[in-house]
Amino acid sequence: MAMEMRLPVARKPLSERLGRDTKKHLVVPGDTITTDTGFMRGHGTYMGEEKLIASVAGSVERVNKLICVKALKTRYIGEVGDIVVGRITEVQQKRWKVETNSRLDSVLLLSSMNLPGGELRRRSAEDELAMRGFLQEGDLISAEVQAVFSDGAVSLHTRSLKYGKDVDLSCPARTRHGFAPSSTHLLTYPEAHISQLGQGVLVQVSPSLVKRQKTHFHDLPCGASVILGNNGFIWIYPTPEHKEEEAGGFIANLEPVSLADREVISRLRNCIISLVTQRMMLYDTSILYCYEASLPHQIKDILKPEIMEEIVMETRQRLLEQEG
Amino acid sequence: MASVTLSEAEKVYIVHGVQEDLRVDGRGCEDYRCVEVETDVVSNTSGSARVKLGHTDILVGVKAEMGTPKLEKPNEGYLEFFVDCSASATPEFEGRGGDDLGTEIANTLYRIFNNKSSVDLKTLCISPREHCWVLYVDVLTGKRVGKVLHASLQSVVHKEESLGPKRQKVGFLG
Repeated sequence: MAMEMRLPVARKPLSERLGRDTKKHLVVPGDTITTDTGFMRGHGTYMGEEKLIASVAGSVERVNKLICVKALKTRYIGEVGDIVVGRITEVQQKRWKVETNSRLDSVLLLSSMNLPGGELRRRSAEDELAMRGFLQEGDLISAEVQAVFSDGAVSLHTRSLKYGKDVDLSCPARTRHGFAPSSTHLLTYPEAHISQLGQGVLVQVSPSLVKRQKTHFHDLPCGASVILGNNGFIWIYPTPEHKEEEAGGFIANLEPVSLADREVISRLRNCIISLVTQRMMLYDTSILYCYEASLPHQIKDILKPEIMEEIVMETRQRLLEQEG
Repeated sequence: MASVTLSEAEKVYIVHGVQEDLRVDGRGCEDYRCVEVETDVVSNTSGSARVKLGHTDILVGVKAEMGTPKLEKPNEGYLEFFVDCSASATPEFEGRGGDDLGTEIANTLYRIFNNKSSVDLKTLCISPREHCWVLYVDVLTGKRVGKVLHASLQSVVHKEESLGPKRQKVGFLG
């Protein structure tokens, strides 16, 4: 039962270790971004004394004439079409309240939820009374953002892939392509979308570290699958043997997971945490490279600061090589 | 202590893992996380330490003052503990919320340090029945309070060591 004690060590600044060509323009609140008045003010900036000043701490992004500051540490700000992983906090009359690390709890309407068996029908009073049977407080779900209300609250829906349709019966929603809500449209996601999540591990990171990609569901070749929620909730779970139609996914598989799968999942979790402490963007390739770099070490050793640094350095090098 | 909500499947996963001696972060059941220790952080105390264990962050200060020994133990000095669970740890500790946890931890610390093998209280005695050293140990918790007991124990032990030279000085004077 050895306990390891160490003295606190100052962390080395990142840019020292690996030279980067494009340095990000980082600002803190109060910094002047530019004195040129020809720019349009975006989020995170304000005009004061003839110059553009930052109001949040983050990196400056410029698109033609628009300057905005993207905050590095922020709550999740929902955008239509994002995949999020959330935890049910409340069961209300016709909807669930879901915690997604945003400023307000997100909303999952009963009508936006898959029914078991994948039926498509109008939700009745019995469905309302049986809501707790579908999802309880504490359950984890993965869902897609359907709409964003004016106060910033996010409305979610879960989709069933088998029929390739996404039917919304209630509130007007605009999809990413701007189609009218009453029409159905085919989805082109190649893998199954799971609504209620079974056994696995949740890792909470900052939303700004999750890279936006075409798909957020990855089956990693090391033996586990991962859902990279845009809200910073990352779900790691054992790859299901066969992609069964999940009957709404309400009956979670509670059989013990094998030790080999557990070790892969724990290793992935520690790798993600090391990438996060070194502020690297999270996407399937970076996680996979980090996993492979960590293989020579024991799983519990990955949490040590010096090994974390070593693994992430190697990952960063590999990613740079791969890019150019 | 901080409370976490989990789904049934997550709980089952964790329990099965623990049965196979594998925690979620890959440690075995009896493995500790890395501990960071810093001593001499508070200048106006005789000795102090700051311990970080996972998300728990604790500051302990020890002040030595002269006092009279307790009647039932005239040859020994004694320790006084005070644990402050501050509201900056979690919102639950706002106002008087942290007092219960604080008194519980303080009582446990009293019991732990009440035997000869942890601290030899006889060395704290200056002259029997008249003067002795009283060590006032103050524990301040910041951030989350998971392993307060563990961390504060280590801190106090560190303090005892850093107080060593001072005690010898007292012996010279007395």
